[in-house]
Amino acid sequence: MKALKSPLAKQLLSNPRTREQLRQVPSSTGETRVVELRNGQTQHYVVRVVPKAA
Amino acid sequence: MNFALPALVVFLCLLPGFIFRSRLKRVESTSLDYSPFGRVVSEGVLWAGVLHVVWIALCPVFGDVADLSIALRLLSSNLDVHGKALNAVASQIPRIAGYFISLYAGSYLIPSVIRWLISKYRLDRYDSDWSWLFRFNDAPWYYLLTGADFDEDNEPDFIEATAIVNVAGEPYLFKGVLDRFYFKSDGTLDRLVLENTTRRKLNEDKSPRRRRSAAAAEAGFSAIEGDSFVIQYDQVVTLNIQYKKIDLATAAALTPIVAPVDAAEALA
Repeated sequence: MKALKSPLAKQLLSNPRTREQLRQVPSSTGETRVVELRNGQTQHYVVRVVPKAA
Repeated sequence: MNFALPALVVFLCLLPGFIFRSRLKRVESTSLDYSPFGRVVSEGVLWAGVLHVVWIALCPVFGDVADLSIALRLLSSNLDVHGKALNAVASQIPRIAGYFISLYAGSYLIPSVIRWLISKYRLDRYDSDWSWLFRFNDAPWYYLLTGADFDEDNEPDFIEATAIVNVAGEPYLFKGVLDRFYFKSDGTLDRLVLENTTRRKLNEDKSPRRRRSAAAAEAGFSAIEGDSFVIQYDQVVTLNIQYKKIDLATAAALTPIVAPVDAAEALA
């Protein structure tokens, strides 16, 4: 069965550069920053932990 | 040749209930239903009864009336009564075939639509008004690993799984993005498929230097080449799950992060 994975997560995981960045050590705030270069555009993302729903 | 026709009639009548039940309990072609046999049978018989009532009630809509006495006479052990019932069946085979074919098709398609509606409108979420009816209470892994309990606005983007696995007598920490998971027939997890996986020895945690900061502890991870990394759940000592959300960074979020300086580490 497929685990939870959004199209954005799939997109970042399919790119070797952003995939590498996702493995980075989180900052002191628990966040990881990812910079994506796509079609000449730079996009910045922040990856953070969210609490469980229930 | 002896032929247990009454048993066959009972089987044909009950079959749609089991088809309906199995289709209703399935998600993404993997069964989530590991109910005891008694419950499977009782629910199957119940659904069969409901479907027959609905189909018989719909018969007049198609300009026909279901003659239930024929079915009862087919179950009779009286050969005379049985023979007359068989003659009645033989004289209206197209109608009876139409009834059962449409019933089987309905018992396959209707629960698929219901299942789709439940998933689309998240009626099985833990805080849904309908969760008492639609929730798979026997499938906690499904809700834990698919994010089905999150509402759409707060749904995370992926799950990061961290597992401790003994490799050649040494405990290793494996961390990666959870891609897929598989169940055994008894409903326990069989294996996890990770991607973007890293690993390190767990006993490096015991090193005083590693304990000083989270960054130093994380630094011991080495990437595992490959697209998918499979972990057998039987070999997992502990499993940690983290839900992670990816947001577009705002200007404020792009200010440099000042990481706490570990003096002891800096001096080392």
